[in-house]
Amino acid sequence: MRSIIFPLPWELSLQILSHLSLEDLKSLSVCSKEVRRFTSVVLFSGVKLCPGSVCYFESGGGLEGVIEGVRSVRIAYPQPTLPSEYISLFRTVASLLSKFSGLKTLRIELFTGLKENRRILNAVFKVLAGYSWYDGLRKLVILWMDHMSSDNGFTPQDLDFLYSGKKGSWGWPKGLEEVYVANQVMEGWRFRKDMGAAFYGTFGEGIVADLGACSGMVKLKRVEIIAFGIMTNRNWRGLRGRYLKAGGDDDDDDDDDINNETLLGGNDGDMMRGMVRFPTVTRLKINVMKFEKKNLAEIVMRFPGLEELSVLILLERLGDGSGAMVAKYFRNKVVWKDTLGLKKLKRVTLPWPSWVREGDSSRTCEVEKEHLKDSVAWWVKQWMKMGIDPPEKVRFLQWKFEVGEEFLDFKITKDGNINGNGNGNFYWRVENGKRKHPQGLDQLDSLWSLKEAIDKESVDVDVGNWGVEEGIMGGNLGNLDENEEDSKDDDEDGDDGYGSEFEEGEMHFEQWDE
Amino acid sequence: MSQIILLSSDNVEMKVDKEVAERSILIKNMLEDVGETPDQAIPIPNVNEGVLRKVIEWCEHHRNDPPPPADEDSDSRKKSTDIEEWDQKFMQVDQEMLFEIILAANYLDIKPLLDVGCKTVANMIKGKSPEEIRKTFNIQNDFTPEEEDQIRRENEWAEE
Repeated sequence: MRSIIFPLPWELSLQILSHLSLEDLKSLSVCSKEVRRFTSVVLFSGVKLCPGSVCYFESGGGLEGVIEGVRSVRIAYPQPTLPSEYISLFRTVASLLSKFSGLKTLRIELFTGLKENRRILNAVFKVLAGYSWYDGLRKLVILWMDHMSSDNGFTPQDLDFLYSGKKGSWGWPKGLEEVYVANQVMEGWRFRKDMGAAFYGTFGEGIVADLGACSGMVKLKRVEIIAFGIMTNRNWRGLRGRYLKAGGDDDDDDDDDINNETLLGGNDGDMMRGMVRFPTVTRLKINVMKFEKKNLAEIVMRFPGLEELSVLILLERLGDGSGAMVAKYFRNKVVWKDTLGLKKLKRVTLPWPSWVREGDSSRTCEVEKEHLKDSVAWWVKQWMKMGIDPPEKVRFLQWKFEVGEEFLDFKITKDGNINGNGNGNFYWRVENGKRKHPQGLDQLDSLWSLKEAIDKESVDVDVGNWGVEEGIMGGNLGNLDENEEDSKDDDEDGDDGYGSEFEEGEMHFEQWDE
Repeated sequence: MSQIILLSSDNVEMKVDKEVAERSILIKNMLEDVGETPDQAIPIPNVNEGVLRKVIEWCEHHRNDPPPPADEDSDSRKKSTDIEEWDQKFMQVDQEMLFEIILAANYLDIKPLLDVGCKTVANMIKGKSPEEIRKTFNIQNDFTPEEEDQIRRENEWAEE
């Protein structure tokens, strides 16, 4: 078949369309009926399902014909609204989606109350899991924020949608390759124990544990989480008693009791709590409100195949979880030794450590660039000792809420000349950049799009603060041998295999005495 | 430098360096199958003299290009329609020739040339209004104004 507009076979015409932006495709598609038919497949490979659009995809709605070609769906409200409105939309959409047989990417934006969010998601997935295309889903994006809670205005159909087969269990799509989850960024400051916030802080670990509990998810490669908390064994165990009833058999209580709700998926009864491993995952990105060194150790344990790891703390400082203890993190603790356990690591982004000025807990100081360099040099040396090539890129990133971020990149390359001792020379290039955040981070999206911009070292980097320098490190990094005693310390640590238990205050960083 | 002879669809023989001809994966595989440099002309039945000369010109200029990078960030590269200057000039031909080059590049399996061709066509659409696109490709608008409105409303629900 030849397209009417280009005298070319269909697949070549498609290749041309693949270079066009959405706006260009839209312009093209109104040129003529013939052209519209031809462009629709590409133009509507991604669609938005919202109150205004649903009617177009229903029977006789004009876009019914494109449904089979849709690969990506975003379900969203234009702005946060009442739970009853969301429920009504998701009820309609869940049923409409049965016809979207080619769906590969599903994106859900849900900004109601915390409780309603979970119930809606649970209800939606319960419906979707029954569709033939469900296990073919490759990418799942869930933006989930606590916004407006209200029990008003629920219709009987809404209630039926939310609660029918409540105990029924569903699993995550087996073909999932990428999972992106974000919640609760704006309400960050509510993360306090006296507000019952233990729950808020558990989303990350809940979803990761739940993903892990689904057997057969062998394709999962990439996980990105923006959340308060991070999965830890200890938290998970504490959580279980509080929030989970495996299988939900005995849950006949009034559902308003948050303690009796099951997590998404309802498979928590099948898993080894806190010990779920994800050997197939190669990319992990976690933005959290706090991050402790033991979290890193657990990541290493759970995601041994990581090629790319990014940890970003959404507050300015590197915390150890206790607030008052932050001052412990001086520059000599910069090296995150546990990362050495990731043998395939190619790119790593870690929080740019800071510490609190003595006698003035309100002020933090970031660790100086020179010290970060020392740390990376030590790091590279350790990798080489282990006979492993160091990562290609190490980035330290500091993130200031709604202000911007600064990063220091170390790009590490190995030259082709293998000298006598079997090691090539490692070169690095240090790049330092800043970037302003867009206003209004209530759009969680912007966190992800921001990531894209940075990855490309885009022109958005503030050139005014841009510095570049280059260094060379000898094959055996001889100039660092003064720290040779470090290796002794390594052995004494005896942390073979990154065990699951870490005592509070136990140092897993390399100590560099001045 | 060994040379081979290509025979266009309209029976014109062209002598080219083997290295240049091997920018075409089709020809490269063919030569590998034969094992030695053939004496006879290799027929290229789908490509006429004019187009074949153009394609060879492109291959000559790009004879030393490194192989294209692995397809990792294909998504970001796809949307880009950047074309290097020489290729831009090379592609300043009439539409008929442009499409012929694309077809030939596809047949001969010269991916970078196919890519440049497709990007060139995409650039003829980029940033233009529907009316301008209609003019460029000589498309007859058969929508009524009401239908066009309806189409625009439907288009609002398309997303990346």
